[in-house]
Amino acid sequence: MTGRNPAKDQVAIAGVGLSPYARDRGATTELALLLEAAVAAIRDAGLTAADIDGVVGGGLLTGGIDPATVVSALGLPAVTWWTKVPPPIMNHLVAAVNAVWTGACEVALVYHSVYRVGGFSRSANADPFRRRAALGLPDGRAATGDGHTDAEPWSMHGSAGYAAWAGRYLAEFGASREDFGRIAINDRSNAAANPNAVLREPLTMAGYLGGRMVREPLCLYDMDVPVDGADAFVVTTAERARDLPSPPVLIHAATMGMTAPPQEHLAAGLEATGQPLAARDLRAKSDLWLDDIDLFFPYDGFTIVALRCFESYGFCGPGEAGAFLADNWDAVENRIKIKGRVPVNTHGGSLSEGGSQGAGHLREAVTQLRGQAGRRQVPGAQVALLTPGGFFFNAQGLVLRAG
Amino acid sequence: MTSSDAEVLERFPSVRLDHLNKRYYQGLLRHELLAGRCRACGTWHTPLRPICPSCWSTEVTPAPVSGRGTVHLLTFLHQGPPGVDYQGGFPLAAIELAEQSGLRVEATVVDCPRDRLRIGLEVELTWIDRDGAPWPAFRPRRAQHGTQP
Repeated sequence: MTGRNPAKDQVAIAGVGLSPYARDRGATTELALLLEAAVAAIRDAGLTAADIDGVVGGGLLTGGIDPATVVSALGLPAVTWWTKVPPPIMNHLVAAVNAVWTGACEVALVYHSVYRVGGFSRSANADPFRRRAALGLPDGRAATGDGHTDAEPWSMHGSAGYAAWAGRYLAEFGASREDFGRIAINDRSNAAANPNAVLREPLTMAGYLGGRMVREPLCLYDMDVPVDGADAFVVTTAERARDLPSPPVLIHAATMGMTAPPQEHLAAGLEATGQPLAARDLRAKSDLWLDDIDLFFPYDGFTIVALRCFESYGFCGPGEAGAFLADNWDAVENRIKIKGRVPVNTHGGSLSEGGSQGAGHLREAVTQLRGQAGRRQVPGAQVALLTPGGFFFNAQGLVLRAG
Repeated sequence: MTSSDAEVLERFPSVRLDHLNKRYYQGLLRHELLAGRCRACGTWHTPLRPICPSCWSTEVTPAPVSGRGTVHLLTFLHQGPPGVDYQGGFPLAAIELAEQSGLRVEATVVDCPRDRLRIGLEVELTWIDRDGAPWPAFRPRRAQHGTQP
């Protein structure tokens, strides 16, 4: 861990592009979604194919699309840096920031795509081409190159691990499922104003508590909603970004956190995972902290992850997040407002906009800091704190500021 | 008696067996639950690793554990891939083994009423059948039966 942060405010997001999220985009391909977002992001930045000399990306469900395919499909004539990364989105963004800062490239295209293949939903299973797309994908821990390859129901790799730690959180702190429910309800209330969100109907606490149990104690509403869609970003120097048409958003501090052993069933405790490490490292790197932010985007692939973020990042103490949310609940708007001011996951998060491994959170933060969030706009928003990723293999943190 | 490579490959056709983890699965075939043990520092580890995660010695070897432990993490799966009964929730636990703090394995829990199954329950190793091969599971430790009917 280091407090060094020489790239502070030196690299910026100069373009954003979206391929809209949907429960089922139908007869399309992951590459088509990705390219739609990529072209939109490059155009948003006022740039062309010849300006892109760095490419980084990857998605979760299929293992993602290789940069070589993107370079080919976009006809990028001169690329000097590329890498393929797993999600969440900070794997992409940290790589891009480092590449731009060190001069490996001048303008990086960052992409993230989600494409439901056979096995992920009934509608995906109904599409023979999506079933074909699932062939040969590694299962469970095999995807991490570990020797033991089991997945659910025999392994806690992935979703079951979050459910298991959610259960231990309830037992250790005497918390209740209502505490998880506030995360889900907040997201849903925010999603109502986001046309890209796939779930926009209001959610009540009774509705949450009555949700179909999936991985106890986590129900349907505790887990992100599978979607098709893609996001892309253009990352370049702050200096260059200031000459481009869209308002730049500066990467103030960025970090990732992982601790041994990261496996869900082996983690020493929630206080010892990558999430609090990322929080500590981000704190050491950032001049801006909890009292300075206008927007908070705790990652919410599972409600327990977002709930625990309030504790790991120091809004409250261990086990106090439920009470903190109750104290900071805006009953009129039916959502969280920290100190009556700072909204949380204004786009609806993974639980209501759609699960995209933090890509949606990043797009929303950039959109808000540009002042382009329409009905959702937080007036005068200047600083956003994001915590993409979960506890174990992929905790991450980011502070963005308006340029 | 240790089974041959051919036998372990045949008995676990869907596991991504390799030249290291095959020893774990060969253990299962003779009803032994193995963990890695470092001869240099004495520390246990799971899953099997080529070097000791604590001291980086290569003097690591698979060794059977006692099978005693406690439920450290617990979830009940209500849906998932075919092969088990999800009715009422299929228990999936992380069992902290008695050998060492933090030494854990993932397993289901059997022979235990739902209202008894909770974090902290003392359990012991037993064996179930999974796709025609022995698979480790845990059940409430028998010594408890008299005190917690």
